[in-house]
Amino acid sequence: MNKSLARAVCCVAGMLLASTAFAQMPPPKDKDALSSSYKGTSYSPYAGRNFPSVPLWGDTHLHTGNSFDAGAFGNRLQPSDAYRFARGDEVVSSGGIPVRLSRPLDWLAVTDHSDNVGFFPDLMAGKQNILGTESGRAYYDRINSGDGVAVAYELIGLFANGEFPKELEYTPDNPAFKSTWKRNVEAAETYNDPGKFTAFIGYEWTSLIEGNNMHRVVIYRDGAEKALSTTPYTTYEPFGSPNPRDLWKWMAKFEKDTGGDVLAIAHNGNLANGIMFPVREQYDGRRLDREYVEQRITWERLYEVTQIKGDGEAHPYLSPDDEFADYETWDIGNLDAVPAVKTNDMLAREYAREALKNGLILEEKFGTNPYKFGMIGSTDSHTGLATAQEDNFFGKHSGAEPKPERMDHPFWENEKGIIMGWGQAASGLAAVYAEDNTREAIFDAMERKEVYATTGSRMMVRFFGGWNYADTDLSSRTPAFAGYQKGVPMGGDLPARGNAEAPTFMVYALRDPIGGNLDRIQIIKGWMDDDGDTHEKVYDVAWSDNREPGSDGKLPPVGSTVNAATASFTNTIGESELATVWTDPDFDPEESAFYYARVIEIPTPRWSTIEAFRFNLPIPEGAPVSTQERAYTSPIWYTP
Amino acid sequence: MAFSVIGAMIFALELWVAEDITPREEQIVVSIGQVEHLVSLFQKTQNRLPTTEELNGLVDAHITEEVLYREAVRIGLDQDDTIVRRRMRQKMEFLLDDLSTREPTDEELETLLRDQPDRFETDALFSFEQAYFASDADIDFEATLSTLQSGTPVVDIPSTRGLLPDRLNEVSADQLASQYGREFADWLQTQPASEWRGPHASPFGTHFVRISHIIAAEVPPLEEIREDVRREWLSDQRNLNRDRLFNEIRSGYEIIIEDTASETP
Repeated sequence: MNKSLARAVCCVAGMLLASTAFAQMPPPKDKDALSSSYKGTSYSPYAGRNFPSVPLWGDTHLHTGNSFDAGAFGNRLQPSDAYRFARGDEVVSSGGIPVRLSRPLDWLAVTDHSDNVGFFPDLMAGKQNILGTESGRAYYDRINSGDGVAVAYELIGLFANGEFPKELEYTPDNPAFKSTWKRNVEAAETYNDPGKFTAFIGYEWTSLIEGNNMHRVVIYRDGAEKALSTTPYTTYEPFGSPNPRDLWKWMAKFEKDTGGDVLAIAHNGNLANGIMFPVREQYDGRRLDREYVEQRITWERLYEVTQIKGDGEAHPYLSPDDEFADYETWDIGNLDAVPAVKTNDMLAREYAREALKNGLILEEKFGTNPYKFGMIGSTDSHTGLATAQEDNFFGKHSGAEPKPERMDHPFWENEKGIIMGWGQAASGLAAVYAEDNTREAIFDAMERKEVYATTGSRMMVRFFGGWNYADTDLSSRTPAFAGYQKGVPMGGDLPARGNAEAPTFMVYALRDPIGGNLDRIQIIKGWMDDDGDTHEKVYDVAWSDNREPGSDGKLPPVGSTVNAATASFTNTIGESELATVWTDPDFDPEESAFYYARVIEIPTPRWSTIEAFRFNLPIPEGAPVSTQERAYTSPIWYTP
Repeated sequence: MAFSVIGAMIFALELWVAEDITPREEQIVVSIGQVEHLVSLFQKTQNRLPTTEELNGLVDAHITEEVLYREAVRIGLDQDDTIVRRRMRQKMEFLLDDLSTREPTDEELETLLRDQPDRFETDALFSFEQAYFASDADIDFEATLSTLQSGTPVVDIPSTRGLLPDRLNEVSADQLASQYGREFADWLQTQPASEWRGPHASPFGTHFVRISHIIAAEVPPLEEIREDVRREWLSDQRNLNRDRLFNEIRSGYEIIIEDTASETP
């Protein structure tokens, strides 16, 4: 049969298979006739293949009015509102502004704080009589002078330091707590629509160690029956604990007792003052051991690397040669109301790239790499609205929803520095390559790390690693076929080396259809040498506009079309798609390594510039005018 | 000596704070049922029974809480506390939701479906082939269209790009808009089937498309989408009822808003 008809038949067969659940294909009779270098299980390369053609976009980390702090800031939205918004409906924000996403998300996890779920002091409400205690009166006075948000921060600070007033605590023993958990689970069940929109059940375990952030979100693969059989783990004794080792024990027990499946995702290492990614000992002085490293990677396969409270991929102090490392950097301190000052020695145990490198050292020492994580982005928004797009950003909490003053109020301040309202990052999102839009398929894709993070844009990125990718694979139609056939996707381990000289990586990206063009694709390599020291290198592998690297080896910047006054830009620079096959020129087969792709857009107006335009305000002093959105894929690892 | 000092402090606090003080109820009974309740709460989170030491801790904590709670209520600390107020409001709202929620009748579901079919209409699904070029490609578009129309496969036409799939199967307009932009999606939906059409621009370049198949949008019958209609009905009812019930309760109060402006001389 002629080539086009054969292709048509194969495509139809592939599409029919793609629409059904993956099934084991029996080996064809002619299997022996297939060459050993061909990886397909059947003559037709599409048979038995069920990979997705587009990623599913979602947010793993969102708070509604049922979270203690979100309520304090004025969030009146419930989980049902959050799911409706994520699936594309228009809702009214807590501040009274109608809001809608530019495009629906494919999935969402509402993850309200398990401690004190149900309510939080709403000190914005008016009072009739003066409260009898002096501190209460002081709070009211400050609210009346417009200080409500600061009062809420103070109360969060008390919580961070374990000093939250005991009589105000809502813990699992309170019937209101259980009822709120039940409501959250029921909302997820109501809005879960397999094939169209996935609503995950989840919560946030809000561990704070002396103000240092150790939060994890916990996501369930399961539905209401299993999720309701226990109450979420909290951080206050006797029902909970702030130690991650105890959270993992709870997760293991949950799975053992119910047959369910849960995973945990940490975030904001940048606010942990050095305790997020320990190398020698945990925050409590207990030395790292085999159990720790094994448990850590068992339960925490992903890391939330970028969100509103800063980007955690790389830091300029750790990566001085990476001109893109200083992006939405929050490094003055931790999560306390007045952040404890951060010192440079803490940084190495806070940022993802360094953790990935240190994971190689720990793997050598203990036999398991605790930091072999994939990467996603999410918002951690406390408004109930999963907004991460620069022109549609509703802020971290309902006190920071769009209004003329929101950029100019200090968000955090200590002796080291200050983060203003404009310092919030309109970030991030999680992209998942799952076969179906269902809880099970998305969860499983997360566990195998076939996911990537973006800072809010929806660029499509593919990253494959193997030993014999070639340019012809890129020019074959739908290169992903070759991708899966000849190697592993993002999140995987390189297959056995055999006699190959060096690993090859096929990477390609398409711009967000409503976003900016692409500037470049980079591959970031981290490795450990014979002496046990780690190194990193950033390679530019594909770029736009026929630029040439300079004498310093650096690719010149792509330029900018951003017009600050009109908060606009044009796609007259950059490229709508970039693709390449890259071979590691510095490969040493004795050295363990990881590789991940970073895709960078051309400059586009930052949300603060757009805000200034909309409210006819000056751009705040110190605020970047433009931003270069980026994607970080999960790494691919090489083990000698 | 210390006791009387504390007593004096509490007495002073009471004078300052409260108007009505209820007599102290001095007996706190921790019943067997209460202890069982504490154990079951522990079990629910930790999935095991507490040790003796843990159980003693739980009972101690409960007693402390009960004692302080009673004292607090007795001297009126629950009055004018916005924490308590907000919690009470939320409990009332939950209660109103629970009270006003009832299951819809079939007739009510039919009515909703009939009156607002656009909320339940399935998406039209498009299957099509495409050939696309870089936006700045130097292509004779008329010639390309003829070549495609004459039956030349996309893969044999030089300069076509290949990162986007040659063929899309049963995508909705919304999915198309997500992937290609709203404008391209709108244009594609207006093209006739079985014919190569174009050129038309998208964020990725210049496209030619041939729609092979359209599955029309439809409003499914109620039995197929009962769950969805029920969910939307309940959501609408909840919003309506909340407003209605609140207004009913509010009508039992006379509300006076003082006008501060009128007080200035």
